[in-house]
Amino acid sequence: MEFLLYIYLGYMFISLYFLSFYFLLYLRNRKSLFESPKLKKHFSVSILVPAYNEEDVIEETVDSIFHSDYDNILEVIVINDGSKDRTAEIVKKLMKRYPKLKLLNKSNSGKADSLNKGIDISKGELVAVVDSDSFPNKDAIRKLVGFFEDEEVGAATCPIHARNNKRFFEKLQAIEYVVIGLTRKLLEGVDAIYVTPGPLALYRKETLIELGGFDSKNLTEDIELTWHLALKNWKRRMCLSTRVTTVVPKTYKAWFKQRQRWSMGGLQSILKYRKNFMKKGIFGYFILPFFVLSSFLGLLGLSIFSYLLITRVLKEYFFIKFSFLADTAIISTNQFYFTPSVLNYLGIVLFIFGAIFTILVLALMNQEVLGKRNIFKILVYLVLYLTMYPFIQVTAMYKLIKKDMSW
Amino acid sequence: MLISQKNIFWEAAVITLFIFGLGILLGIFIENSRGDKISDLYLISEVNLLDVQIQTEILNLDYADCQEIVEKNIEFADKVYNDAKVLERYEGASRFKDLLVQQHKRYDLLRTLLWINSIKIKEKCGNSLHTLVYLYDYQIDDLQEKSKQEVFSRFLEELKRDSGDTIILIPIAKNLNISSLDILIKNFGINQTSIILDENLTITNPTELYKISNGIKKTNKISL
Repeated sequence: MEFLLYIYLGYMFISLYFLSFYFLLYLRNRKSLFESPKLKKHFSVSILVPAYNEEDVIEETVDSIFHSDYDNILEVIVINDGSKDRTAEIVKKLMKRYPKLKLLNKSNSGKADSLNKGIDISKGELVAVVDSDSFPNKDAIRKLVGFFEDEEVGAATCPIHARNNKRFFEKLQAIEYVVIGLTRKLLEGVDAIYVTPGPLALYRKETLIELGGFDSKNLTEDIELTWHLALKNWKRRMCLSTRVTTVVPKTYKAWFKQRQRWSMGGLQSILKYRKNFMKKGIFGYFILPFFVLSSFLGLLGLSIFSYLLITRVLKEYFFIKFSFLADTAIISTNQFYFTPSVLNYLGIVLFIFGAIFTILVLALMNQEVLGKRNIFKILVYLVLYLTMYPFIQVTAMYKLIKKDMSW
Repeated sequence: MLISQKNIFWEAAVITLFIFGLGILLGIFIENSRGDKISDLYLISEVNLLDVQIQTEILNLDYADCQEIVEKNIEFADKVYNDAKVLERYEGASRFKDLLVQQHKRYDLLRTLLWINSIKIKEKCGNSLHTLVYLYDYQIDDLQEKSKQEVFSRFLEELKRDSGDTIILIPIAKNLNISSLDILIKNFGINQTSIILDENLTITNPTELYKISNGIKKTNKISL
């Protein structure tokens, strides 16, 4: 039991540390969070849109890109990764409407490889990646370009918001995206942005070439590339004053598969960069250990949960069995009491801090949070939604060991 | 663009250590105050025990009647039983200190004295009361044994509720190295979780618990 006590205390300490860390970052930077650099140099931009069977959304994505208010978009290249639907046909029609739109047809080889092919033919000084189910705001490209005035910046991104957020499960994801967006911005304060995600990220083309592009073996090529950028000391920037919206999974199964893929990609990246653990600046000392620790704590938490659950079930089984034999009551009113321990108190404090942080983030990002329904959603998000991650982690690990790289 | 502030790593660590340390100190304070509460309860029980022991001595001198002494003993036993429930709850929530283990041991000594006292009363007054001594293991890991003990406790609780005015219920942990208790239970040949009814019926199996109910009902009928 003492061993478990130390583990619980360890979990609480780490959680409290990261909450304090984010609160401090917020307090120090609250005035400049939504600032973005003024656009001076108008870099030329090529936008890459990798697409596989995206007939339902590709037109809207292309439309949203061409509605951008940035004045130096050289080209928008849709890379058709061997789609079996009408994606290519729709893009061809759109090319009549948008002369800067190009179509690159290729056989199916995955997103990272498609992006690399796109980089090869792109002509812009900067290369933007836009997922085919994502829709950048009108000002998004313009605001991101401003960051590249600083020659040390290799990539810039912005928050992702859920486009479909009507259903309860979609709303939970919407909360998550908002929280991730702000925490990513806060991490900029310690130069620790760990992903410039697929829905919208802008890169310096020469940097992409220097790094050899995206890793086609990795299931989360965006995480891998961002780590590579961090390792080579390229700065990553985040702009909170704009956004990109994306279609989030509508069903639990699709969500689970998506998160499983993210976990697998994260694990692949950990394995690839393991030699840099506790070496070489913020990447080796923070980003990589942060991911390793998250994975480890998730797995450990799940193991402890399973152990406690199994012992509890066994104990209840024996209790019911003996109760029948002895002809005694299985349930008694006397058993319903609660004497809180220090762990309960610490847990409550931690939960309150976590809830305050989530509410603060949602309020900052202009999400209405004070309604009763939203408070309920936040509770479900904190108590149920987030606790699913260790389960995803385990299945991701299993798939990785089996070398099952299917999406 | 945010200004790089890497000293935040250390500042966050200091704040966390402060909040966390405060939490741990608060925890120790809460557990200490619970220990103090148990100490106060124990002190009262200790005085009460001395009182009932003296009453038993008075009984030997034929200056008091059995009925009154038996009632006082049952009353005291009930108080100790209720104290035990409070102690059990606090023990369940205790995380940092083994202070409560010592308190438990002190209570077990007290209950052993109560048992001996009850034997003496029965020698003098006959079967006007029943002693149910429940000998269990303190803090065991074996799930099966733990469940068995819970069932025994539940059974005794129900029995006490139904026939409380004639029963002295004395739960004692038998694995806390109390020499006097060890000598006593050795006499009954006990080495596992057991309930002893009136020093002549020992139950170790949940299927035999009905014998206790029957034994109590039978003698109660005879006394009526």
